[in-house]
Amino acid sequence: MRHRPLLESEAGRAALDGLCKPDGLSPEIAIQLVAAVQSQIGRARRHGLFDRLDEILAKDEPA
Amino acid sequence: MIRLTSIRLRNWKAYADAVIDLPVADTRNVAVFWGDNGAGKTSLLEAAALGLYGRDGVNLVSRARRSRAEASYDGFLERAVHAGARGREATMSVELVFDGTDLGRLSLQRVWYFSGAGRHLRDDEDIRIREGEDEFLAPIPGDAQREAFIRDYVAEHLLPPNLAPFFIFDGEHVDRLAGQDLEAQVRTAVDTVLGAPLLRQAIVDLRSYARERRRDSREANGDVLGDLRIQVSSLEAREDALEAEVEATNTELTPLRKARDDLVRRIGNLHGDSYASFKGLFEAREAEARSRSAQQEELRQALSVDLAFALCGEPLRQRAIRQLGAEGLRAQWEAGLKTSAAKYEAFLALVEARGPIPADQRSSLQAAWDAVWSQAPEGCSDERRHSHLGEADRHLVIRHLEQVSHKAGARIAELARDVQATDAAIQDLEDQISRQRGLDEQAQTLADDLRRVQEATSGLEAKHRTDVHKLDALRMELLPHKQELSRLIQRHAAAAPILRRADRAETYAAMLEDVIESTTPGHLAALSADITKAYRALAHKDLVETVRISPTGDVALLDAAGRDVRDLDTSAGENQIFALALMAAIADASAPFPIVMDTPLARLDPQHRRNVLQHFAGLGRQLVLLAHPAELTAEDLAAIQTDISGQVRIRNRTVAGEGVSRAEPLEVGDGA
Repeated sequence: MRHRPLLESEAGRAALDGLCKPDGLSPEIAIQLVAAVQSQIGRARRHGLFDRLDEILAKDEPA
Repeated sequence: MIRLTSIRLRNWKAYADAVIDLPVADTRNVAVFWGDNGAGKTSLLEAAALGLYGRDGVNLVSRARRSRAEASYDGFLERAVHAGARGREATMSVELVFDGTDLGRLSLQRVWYFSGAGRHLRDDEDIRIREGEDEFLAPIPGDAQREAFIRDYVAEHLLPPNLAPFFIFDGEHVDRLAGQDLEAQVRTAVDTVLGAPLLRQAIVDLRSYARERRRDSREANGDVLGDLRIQVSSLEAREDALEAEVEATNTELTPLRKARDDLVRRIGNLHGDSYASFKGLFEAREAEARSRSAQQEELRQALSVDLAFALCGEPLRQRAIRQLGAEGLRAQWEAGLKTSAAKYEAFLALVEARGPIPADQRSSLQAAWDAVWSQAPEGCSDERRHSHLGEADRHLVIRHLEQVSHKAGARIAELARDVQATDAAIQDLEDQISRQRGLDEQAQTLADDLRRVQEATSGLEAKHRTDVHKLDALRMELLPHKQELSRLIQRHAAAAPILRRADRAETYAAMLEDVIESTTPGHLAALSADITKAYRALAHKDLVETVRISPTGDVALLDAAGRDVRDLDTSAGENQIFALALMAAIADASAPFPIVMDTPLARLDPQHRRNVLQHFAGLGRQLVLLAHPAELTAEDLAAIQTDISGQVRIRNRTVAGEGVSRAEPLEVGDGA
């Protein structure tokens, strides 16, 4: 199957890895951020999205 | 090839309880569902979308048909409940049964629960997955991971949600895509394939997040914090000063209070046992003193009068008694003489009334009257030596002289002894009182000390109370400032990581944007071959040799000579055909999943319609066609006759006042 979601495709994942590196970003964090947004889709009130983003981004804090 | 073999609906829209078996055959892949408007065709497409993707499937449902209340997933579900079950506690379910998956037979059932008020509570739903012919119930993790698990499961074994718009669509969806120019169509399609809408949503949300967190942090900026610190610091300085004063007053008060307590205790000890007795002594002394006064007075009298009478002797006292008695007789006689004279005058007046009395007879009469009525009694004194004494006084003196005569000496001696004894008693009492007074004087000294200490204490305590009130008021004023300062300090402290996270979110957003931008060109270009094949199959004008899509998304419909035919000829239906070609091309290059198509052909001319039907039927996957009887002609069906596995008629009938949809297989020869 050629048409896979961007972050699941080889090309997409390669782009993600490559573009994360210069800014010291984490591809895993990026995927978690997108998943957090995806889990809110279809909800009339977007409960707790920013709190969830806080949690995820907190893991991205420099040690 | 994955096939949808059955749709089981309960309380879903117009389907109260329906099992719809799709006609399937090994060599034929097109199932046609006929139905008039409102019969329930679209409900089947919606059942496929929400049955597969749940919350994610709402966007596949026609936007035009959705009311504002149905914009949300929960809102849509509440209005999807069958009329007979609406507004009460109910369950609604959709079960999709597939065969040909990598797991063989696969059943996906979603059950939604509704409260007594007909409300669908958030996430109040179940999902059941049965795998294989044995209908093995697949284990599904708990709430936190369930949604992601189901999403991944459906993507892996059936169809990823990003591709769903190319497999489950209606005419509105095609029209919306066709409403854009070709470049935009391609970009939209590629975006959809790549799941870019989700990434773009993530970008928007990350930037909103960054904005909001920065806005929150602005409250804790240095200026506001600094001003508040100065204000709080000033109030705290006043608080410290007042506290120091209160403390100093307390320091002064402590020994004073101790001294006061000590004095009170000592005074209490002094008076505790002796006061009552002191009072008793004092009163006894007063009584003795009064008694002594009386005795002294009696003695004085005894000494001044009785003693003289006693010393003068009995004969003299008797002479005095007789004299006084004779004087008493004389007083009585002299009083009688006055009466006698008045009576004589009355007598003389009577006599003279009978005739004048000669002068010589007058004196004889006087002498005779006096001889009868005015003779001095026997024992009468010749004179009155004690004329100052009245009758009563005279009697008292006489009686006193008679008593003194017997007792005067003994009485005086007795009185003298009494006075002496009383003096001794008074002296004794005064001695006791003196001792007691010594204590009282000590108590008085202590009381004076206590008064001074109490005055000093009262003054300080008044000052202390005032200071404490001031301190309380100041603290009340200070409290909200301190709380605000504390909040700001926390926010300020927290602001640094918040701002870092906001920056980070922005960086991730920019990075995701770059990921989309960097990968899209490759996908755009890769579409050229697929869309050329599809477009050439759908377009009846055989002008286009190649559809070329550049990495930047420019689209060229090139003829054999390499010219863009759009420069030569533009057709009204071109965008519609291009949109359908685009969808077919993407579906063709994706999973072997059934295509569920709800009347997307109305705008096309017959030739294009047949081209579309033939092309989609020939994609090597199940095609479920939901059509209005007026939309497809016998000629249209004839074009795909050999692919049709069966036809089903959908009807909506009123049962007990409610519209109920049913699906009935059409036998060959039945009219649609």
